[in-house]
Amino acid sequence: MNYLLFNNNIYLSDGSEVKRIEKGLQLKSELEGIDEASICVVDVDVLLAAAVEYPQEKKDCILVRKFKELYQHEPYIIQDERIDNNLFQVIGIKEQKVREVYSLIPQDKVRSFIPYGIALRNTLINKNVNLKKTVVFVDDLETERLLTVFDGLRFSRTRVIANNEENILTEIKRSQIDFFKKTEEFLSKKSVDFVIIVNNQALAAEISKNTEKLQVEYLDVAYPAIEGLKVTDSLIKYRLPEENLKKRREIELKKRVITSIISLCLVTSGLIFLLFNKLEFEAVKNRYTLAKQSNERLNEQLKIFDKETYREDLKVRKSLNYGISYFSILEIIPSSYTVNSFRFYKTNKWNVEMTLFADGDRILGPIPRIRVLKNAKITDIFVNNQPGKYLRVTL
Amino acid sequence: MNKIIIFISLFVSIFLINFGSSTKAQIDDEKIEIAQIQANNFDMKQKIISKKLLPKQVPVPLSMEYSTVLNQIRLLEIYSGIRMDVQLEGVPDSQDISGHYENTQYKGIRGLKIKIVIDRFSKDTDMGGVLYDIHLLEKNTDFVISEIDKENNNLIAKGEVYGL
Repeated sequence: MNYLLFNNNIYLSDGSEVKRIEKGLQLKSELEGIDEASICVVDVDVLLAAAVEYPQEKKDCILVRKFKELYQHEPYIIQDERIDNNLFQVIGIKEQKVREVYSLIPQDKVRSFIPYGIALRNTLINKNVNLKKTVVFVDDLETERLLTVFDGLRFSRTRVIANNEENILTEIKRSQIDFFKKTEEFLSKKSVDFVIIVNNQALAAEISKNTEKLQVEYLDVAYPAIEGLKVTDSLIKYRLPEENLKKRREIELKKRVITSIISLCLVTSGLIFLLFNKLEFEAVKNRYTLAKQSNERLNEQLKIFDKETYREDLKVRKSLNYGISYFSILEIIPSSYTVNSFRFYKTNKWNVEMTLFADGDRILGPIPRIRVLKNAKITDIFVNNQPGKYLRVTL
Repeated sequence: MNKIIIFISLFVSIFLINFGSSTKAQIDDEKIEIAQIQANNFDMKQKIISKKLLPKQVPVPLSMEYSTVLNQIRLLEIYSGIRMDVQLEGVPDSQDISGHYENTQYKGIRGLKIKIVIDRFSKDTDMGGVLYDIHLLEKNTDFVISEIDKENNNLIAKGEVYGL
């Protein structure tokens, strides 16, 4: 893995040593051997802007509009990071700059592409620098000095000051004032105190001699941005517009494929259910037709058999001789009774019901329960002031 | 757009499932009908098996059998001296039986429901003899008694004449 810092010069690190490469003809050949690289770019523009957090499309739209209002002279590629509730830090790199970087290193070899401020902030956080205070960081790159102001997650546009051995304190103050003016509407603190951190011990000692008693600290990291690149886990990665378009198309295509699959699954499940039932219906219909055919065949057969055998069957049904049955009941009933009415009717077996009354003024004697009347139901009745008996017997 | 496509697919799927469900309901109905037909078939097979054992006879047309019943009744009247009226749905001694017959438990065999009404009894009438005559009528024809009811001076024998 290689780490690159793009400024007026390019600083290339293989993880241990840092090499400064000047822009020129040999630059392309120097960078050709790189397999994978993490890149940070100094030349970025930063804007703090408030926007809704959701939906994301609306947030992006607001942030792009606000950034363009301020930097409308050139096309930018913009990324943003959430700083606070509904507050975003919009960081834009000129499209020309991004193209320049990708012309040197192919896109597929770039793992991360972040602003210098984020890379530096990573190092400051790793070195436990208190960013709750306003910090002005002076990155001494020998030929030039980079001034970046931090306040929490916020950072300023990095100013590049040529190293001409002049007092840099004025530039530091200017950077701090400029940052404070740009961000004061979003700052809760009104204090203008700040800490100066320098990665050059001699320069730190020199600045600390200031008359305003400004706090100056020394940070022993020669290339803090390159160190910050090693630990980057930022979601930010600058891409070319056409690459973004390609990515968006890929995402769109993926969405369409997923939509098509979901739609296909939905319709297929419905279709399978329908086809399964239709097939079963056809099978059941066939079974029904077969059963119906069998039914008709049996019906015809039965019809023939019925025509040929109904007379014989009727004979079996006509087994009761009503006269003899009547006589067999009468011969048991005492002569003092006369039969008033009777009824032969069929349930499973033949039944006989009789109503008996006294013959004249004769006394009703008991009806013996013998032979056919053994299980008969005999009850007393009283009709028209006349006592009698009701008799029911199953034959 | 994607949401619309998914919504349309969902709608189509619901439509297909609904259509499939109505087919399923039809399947269930058909299955019930099949079960009924199969039970009926089983029943008919059993009947055929039992009827195969019975001796076969040539069927008699219903009108001819009805005439036989009437003639038999007239014969019994002559022998017993008791007048018997035959009523077909309330119409006495009707010769026109068309439109009165109905299906019976025997396939292809029709039935004619008649009433034999005897309403002229004397105290000396032998009721057992009358009933015996009715039995003879039943025995000599394809007439089957279902009920005999005697109340006051009125005896009604209900039954059915069977024929082709």
